[in-house]
Amino acid sequence: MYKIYYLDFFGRSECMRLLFDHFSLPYTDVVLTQPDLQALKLEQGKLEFGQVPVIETPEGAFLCQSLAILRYLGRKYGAYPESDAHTAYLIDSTIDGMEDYINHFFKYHMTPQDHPLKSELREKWLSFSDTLFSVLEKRQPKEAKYFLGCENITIADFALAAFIYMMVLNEANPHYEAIKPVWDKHEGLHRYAEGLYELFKTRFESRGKKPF
Amino acid sequence: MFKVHYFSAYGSAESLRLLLAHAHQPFENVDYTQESLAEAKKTDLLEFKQLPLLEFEGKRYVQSHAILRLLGRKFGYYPTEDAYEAYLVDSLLESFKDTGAAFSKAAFNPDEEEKKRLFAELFETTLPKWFAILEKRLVSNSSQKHMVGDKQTIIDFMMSSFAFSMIYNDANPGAGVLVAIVSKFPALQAYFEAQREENKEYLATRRVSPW
Repeated sequence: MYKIYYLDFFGRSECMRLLFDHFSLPYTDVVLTQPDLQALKLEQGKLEFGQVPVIETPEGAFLCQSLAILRYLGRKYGAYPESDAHTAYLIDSTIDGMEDYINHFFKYHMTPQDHPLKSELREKWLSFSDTLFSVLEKRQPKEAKYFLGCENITIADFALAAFIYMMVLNEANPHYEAIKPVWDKHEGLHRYAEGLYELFKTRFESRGKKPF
Repeated sequence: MFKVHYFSAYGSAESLRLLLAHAHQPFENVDYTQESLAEAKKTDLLEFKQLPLLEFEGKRYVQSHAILRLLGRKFGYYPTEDAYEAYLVDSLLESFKDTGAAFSKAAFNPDEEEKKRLFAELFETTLPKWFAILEKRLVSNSSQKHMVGDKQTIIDFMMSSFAFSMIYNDANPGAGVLVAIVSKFPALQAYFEAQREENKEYLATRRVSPW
């Protein structure tokens, strides 16, 4: 059984849960408080970079760095089609784009309200959001179930589903009111996103509400 | 002919240049200034409105890590047939984002006091912690001249880009501090020397840049 060690967020661990659910791989969540995390950091060989998430595989290995974990699981369970170089590139650059979004979002989110750069950072975040959604809209064939019109599910679908329903279509997210109108403009993505919700409905409807 | 679109600096394009040079793939640099980048953003050249961009065989590619993976697969620098070996590469590649974030946070902080404090934290804690992890990886790897396995992989080009832009770069005024920190990690220091040898032709002929 896989174990996910993380804090009490969806955050960087959600994409793995969606993969585990999709492939019917049982897993447990070990939800850490800050003291738990500090204690775990002291245990040898578990948190290589002193960070979470880490997963413990059924074989007892500890893997870290969420996107490295996602790629590892993707390769293991046939969800990372690398034999087609261009498809693999589109998956990789989509994941990189979401990383950029997260950087812009948290730079804005973590800056105090009264900081002189606050509104510039908000602009940068919202502008990048529009760019990202445009790229996704261009890459996603309108009638396709999976991202890029791939025949089978890929790590891009897990990453996008986690991302959309935590950072964008999540009323508990602190900046939902700002991002929703940007998302609404990109109608070409809505059907794909609805399909993702259906795919992961069990998880999305049982996980409760968190800001991200 | 590959075309690397970026500023006339190392930055996030250098890992790609190192790889192409190592693979004996001729490439051309298409240089941007802040002004020409602003113009390019108005067109649809840059999908995410960012550099770098790689052009070849009539196609355009963006996002430096995605390009690095693409070239890695193409030229045999990404061991994707072995999921665990690829994981060892990927996890090191991902760890760069935290180091990069710590550097940026310090470098771009507008407050002088805070900037000093952040740089001190970077040099006294963040970097040594990360170097210790790299040291451990090297010692347990089959070769100490490469980060993963016995031959060059995309993580070696990323590491070399970092080493020869930031640390072993006379044009970087902040390099001295970093050289001193690395000197406390013998395997890492030896690894960078081995990578200097591995990439020596390109390193000898590339342009000078402070970053």
